[in-house]
Amino acid sequence: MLRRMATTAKTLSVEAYIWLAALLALALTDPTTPPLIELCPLNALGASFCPGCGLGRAIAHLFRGEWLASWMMHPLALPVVAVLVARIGRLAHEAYQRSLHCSPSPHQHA
Amino acid sequence: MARILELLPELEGSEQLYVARLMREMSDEQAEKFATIYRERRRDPTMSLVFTLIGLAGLAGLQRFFLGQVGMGIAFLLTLGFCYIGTIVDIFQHKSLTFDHNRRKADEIALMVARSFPKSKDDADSLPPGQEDA
Repeated sequence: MLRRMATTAKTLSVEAYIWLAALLALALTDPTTPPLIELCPLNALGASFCPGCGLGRAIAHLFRGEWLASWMMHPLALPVVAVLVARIGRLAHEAYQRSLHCSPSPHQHA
Repeated sequence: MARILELLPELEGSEQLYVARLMREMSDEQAEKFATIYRERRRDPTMSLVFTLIGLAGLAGLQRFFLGQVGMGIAFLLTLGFCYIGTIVDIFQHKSLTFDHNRRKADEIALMVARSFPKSKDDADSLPPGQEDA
């Protein structure tokens, strides 16, 4: 069981780790402090509106259970988290299936 | 390996290796059917890259729709690819994203072909001994 989980973790694609790391980072972020670096390139170019801005802080609010604050910051935080979790789940499921197929003796069917 | 170069010469890298391994188990007829269907359903990594680059111009997430991920596509579209971060990540991983999709399709098609066109007894017998383990 443990070894199967290790194989799954090894075959899990980079994409799943990126989304996991992003969600984890947001869970550890305090949404009320101003950001250390401004990640949005539109904002850096001086645009006054970007459809994605506030999403990170909105997700950070979600992790703290502050639903209203999250909605005010960016109404799509909850659907986006749902979609990302579903994607991670699907990738993990596929990696698990593959770990079943790549079991120690690959020629057992012959 | 020779068979895949003949039937699906456009495959490269890990996709080629993966499909070659699937094909090793197939008869010649099965491999031909597989190649025809797979060519229709696989996605070209370069097209994924082009769609991802369109995201830099403001219409993000087309690559996700292209690869059958409708939920992720809508999320990208409505948030400008998570403020470009998702789009930039996808530029770097366009090959593995496409390979994930193609690998899933290849598995499906291989299963379908194995069920719809069972190996005839002659094919299995005509292989010299030891070749199926090669």
